Amino acid sequence: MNRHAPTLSSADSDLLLVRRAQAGEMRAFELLVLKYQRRVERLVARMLRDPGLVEDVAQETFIRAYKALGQFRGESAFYTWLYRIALNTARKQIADLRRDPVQSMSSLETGDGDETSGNERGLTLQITDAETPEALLASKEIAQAVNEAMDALPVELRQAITLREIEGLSYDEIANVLDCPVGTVRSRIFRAREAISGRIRPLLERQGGKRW
Amino acid sequence: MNSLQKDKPMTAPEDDWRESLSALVDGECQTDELDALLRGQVSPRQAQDTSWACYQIVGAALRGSLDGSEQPPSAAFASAVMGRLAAGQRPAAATAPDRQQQRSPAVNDPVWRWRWAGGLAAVVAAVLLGWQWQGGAATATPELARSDARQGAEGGSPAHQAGAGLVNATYESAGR
Repeated sequence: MNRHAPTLSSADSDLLLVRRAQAGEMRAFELLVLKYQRRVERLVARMLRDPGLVEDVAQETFIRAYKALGQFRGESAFYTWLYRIALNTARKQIADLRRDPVQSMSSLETGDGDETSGNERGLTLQITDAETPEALLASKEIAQAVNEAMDALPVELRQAITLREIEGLSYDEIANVLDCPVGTVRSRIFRAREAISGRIRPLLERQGGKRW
Repeated sequence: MNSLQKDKPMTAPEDDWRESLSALVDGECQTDELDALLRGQVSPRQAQDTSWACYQIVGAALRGSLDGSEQPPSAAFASAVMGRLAAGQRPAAATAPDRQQQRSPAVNDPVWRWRWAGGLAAVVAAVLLGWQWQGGAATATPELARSDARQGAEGGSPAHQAGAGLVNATYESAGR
């Protein structure tokens, strides 16, 4: 591998993947799907009660996003753009459900006729799957495992990952702060991530992830 | 600063792609690394997916932004989305037949021929019905014909009268 190849200057990995997806690389878009699937589902679940519908609408969100990807100019964050598509897709689903007398109103987040106010109320009041006691407990366990893993890291790895994930510094900036080469920064961040991932993978497996 | 070559600590070859993936999470991946990652040349896809999702969750945990949605991404979900997209992409090649289906069908098209046959049959049926109506009226029962004729004579509409005269004349000419 050519280590002198130009480093992709964008600090936004999403934008890198979007550009590749725009160029026709489906795998790039798949990585974005994997990254944002749960967040989109969570957003949609705040608006729709039916879990089956939530997954359908989340899928439809990504399909629409892919089809509209050519219009994404990178002026906003990719997730902001995706979030808007998810909202519109969920609203359309709600409108369709209200037009269809066969569909149970239990699929909707509210039973009143005011869609907008219903959605807003749903955003603040509905308890979604992600907010169930089990899910919140799982998050707590993950956070605890990550903290323990951080404590167990050698100090140079802990510094590198902290500067990257918490302070949001670029590799160059971290290299300057730590007075070490960029390659070392990159390696330290990677090793820190791997060490922490090793702690949380069993927890994620327990949550039923089939690919873990 | 680009000193990756000289200062990069030794990593096992199987870890190289993971390090590239970690750099991708930070938007610091190099173009050739990204090429290799996306083309699946360096890693099994499933392992790549797992590490990708794990790194995202680690970042969220460190930033204190865990929100209860940190379940691993579902393999079935991503597969379904990508499957639908792949199916949707096929129409790029399949649009030509679609357009062909939209243009006017050729007259020698079997369906078109059936339409012609159906139309012709409808016209023939209409002609036959008209002819039968006229012939049938002429052979109507005498009581009905006479009754119509009487009504006509008693001051029906001109059309009625003309019709009655015709029926009556036909009836009379039939020698009844």
